[in-house]
Amino acid sequence: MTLNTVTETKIKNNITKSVSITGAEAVVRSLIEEDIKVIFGYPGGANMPIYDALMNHHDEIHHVLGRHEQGCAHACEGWARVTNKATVCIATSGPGATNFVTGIVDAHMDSTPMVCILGQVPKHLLGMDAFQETDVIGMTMGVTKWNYQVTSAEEIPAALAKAFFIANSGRPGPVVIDITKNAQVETMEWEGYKKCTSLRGYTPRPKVQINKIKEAAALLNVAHRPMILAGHGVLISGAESALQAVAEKAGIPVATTLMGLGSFSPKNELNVGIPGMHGNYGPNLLTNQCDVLFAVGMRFDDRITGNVSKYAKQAKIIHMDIDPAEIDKIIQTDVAILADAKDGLEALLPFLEKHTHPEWLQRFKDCDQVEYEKVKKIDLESNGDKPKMGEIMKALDEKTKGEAIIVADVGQHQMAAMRYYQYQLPNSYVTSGGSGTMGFALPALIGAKMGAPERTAIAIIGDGSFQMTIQELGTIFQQKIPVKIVIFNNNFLGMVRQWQQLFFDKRYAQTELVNPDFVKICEGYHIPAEKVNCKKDLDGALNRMLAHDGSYLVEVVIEREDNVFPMIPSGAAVDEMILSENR
Amino acid sequence: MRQHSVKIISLNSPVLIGRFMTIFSRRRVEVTNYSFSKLNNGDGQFTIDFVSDDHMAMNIQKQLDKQLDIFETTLN
Repeated sequence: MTLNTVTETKIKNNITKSVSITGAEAVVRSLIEEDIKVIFGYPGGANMPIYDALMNHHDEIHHVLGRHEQGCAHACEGWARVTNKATVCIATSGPGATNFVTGIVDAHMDSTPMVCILGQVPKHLLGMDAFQETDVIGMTMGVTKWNYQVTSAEEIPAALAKAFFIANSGRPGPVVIDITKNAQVETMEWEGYKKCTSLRGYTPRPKVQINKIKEAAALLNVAHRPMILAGHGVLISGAESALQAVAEKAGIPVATTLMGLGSFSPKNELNVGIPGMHGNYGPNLLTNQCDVLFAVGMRFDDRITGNVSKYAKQAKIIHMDIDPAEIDKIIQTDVAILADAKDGLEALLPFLEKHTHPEWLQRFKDCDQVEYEKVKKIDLESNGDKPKMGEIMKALDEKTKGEAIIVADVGQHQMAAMRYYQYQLPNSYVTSGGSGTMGFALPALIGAKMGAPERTAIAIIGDGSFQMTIQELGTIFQQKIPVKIVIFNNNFLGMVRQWQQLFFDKRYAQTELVNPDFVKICEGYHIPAEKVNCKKDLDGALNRMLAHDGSYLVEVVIEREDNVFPMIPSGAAVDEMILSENR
Repeated sequence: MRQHSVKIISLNSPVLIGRFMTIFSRRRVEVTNYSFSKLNNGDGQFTIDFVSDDHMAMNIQKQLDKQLDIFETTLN
């Protein structure tokens, strides 16, 4: 019997049809029922039956063959971050599964929905140290929203239905489904697919408590120096309009976190920038001067708070989040609102009084001026021969009108991409926030572009990060994905070097890179590429990249020892931010 | 630091104990005792005793509570 042999059995008055199919076929049918169009994966011994079944449905599901399972997982993340919907990555057991783990951790830290389907050795070999057997369930327990091992074919539809429901609902996250090979090849009766819509003990969208909303409104209505911190939760829930309405009605300045960029228009006068380690001066300094701090869909990450014991001690704290475990975890709140950001903000709006806070807003503008003089002017109007990171991002911003998807890797370039691109649209800054995974951007770019093919997608990658997943150029070439890649090349692991310069007496321990010829590497993959060695050539190169129909790479040689400022030194308070090496 | 006890009503699934223990071990919280029993309705009941400060105990309860297949947690 071939794997796709289908035996149809009529049951009861011809109303219900039961079909005998393999477990592998059930996997693919389940994905089709979940409206999955694109998946990322890599075949191997333990998932071959699923790949065989996929061949029968190639017109319904497009499989993207990555070059490494980590790349497949990041591509899956990239897709989810621009669509707010989970898709699937598939790998085999053992090393295939362990290669996924970095991507799973990354998705878990950044609340990214995805369903990872893994092949596993047959049930009778579990725990026997069989070839390519690894305990992926044990390994991913702490880094998944849910994981489950399927050992019989009939479990497959229900397990996958539950997986998609869990991954996409509430605070999203990664789910691992580990399917033993016997479950893939044995047959089951397919009686249709039932989507999962509820689970006992799981409340993905808590009902907004109006008494808490009124308490929050009471604080905000009498505040003289209120401030909103908008995080990734605003984007996940699609609460951008609700946030704008709340901020504008109550006249509250809004700072968007690295993960929340794009949730509040940079053109809005109330947008006061970015809090956190390499964010803007105003929102950091004034966090410790506001009287009410209203955090929405964010989790007070240590990169935001700096020294927690000195964080916003003078302020009343309102924390709105969908995850009860985030409330009072880092910062003790005065009013906790357990809610989806959209539900919570919409409930809050009618209780708010109209206010403006011009003097308070002016203080942010004053800080902006200080930051401009001491930081931005240097970053954006340098006299040097080499382009600065800020200048490249500003040029890209102007050329794309702030409407491209920017997929940034991890390091100094990530901070430049955060600071100097004006994100006009939601779900446009795709980066590894919580996990800080070098190598994220190139594969995530693939997923992001495939998830939003109508948009321009540009990766911003350091020379170190690029070489961590450089093999995904092969995926871009094979799939003919029209992505744009900009390499910021300083021949250093720049962020670590910056810390070595500032905190380790310039002892550059193992941060200098001797790099290959990236243009020649692209040539091997038939991806057009060029190298920019001096500032005067930047504009033309970026124009050619953006005008080109297909994929294109521009390597920009930047100043070797350029630094990212402002900066909250490790262990310092947000109002101890330094604006330059000289403090 | 003091003794706490958390009672968990859950799906009767062996993998859950692993998930619970990860939550404790990751936070370096000392588990002093744990037990499991099957309830009449088929649910599982775990009781885990541990030593921590009150803030950490509450944090752990919330982390346990957000696990899938957990129906109820009670912290004493």
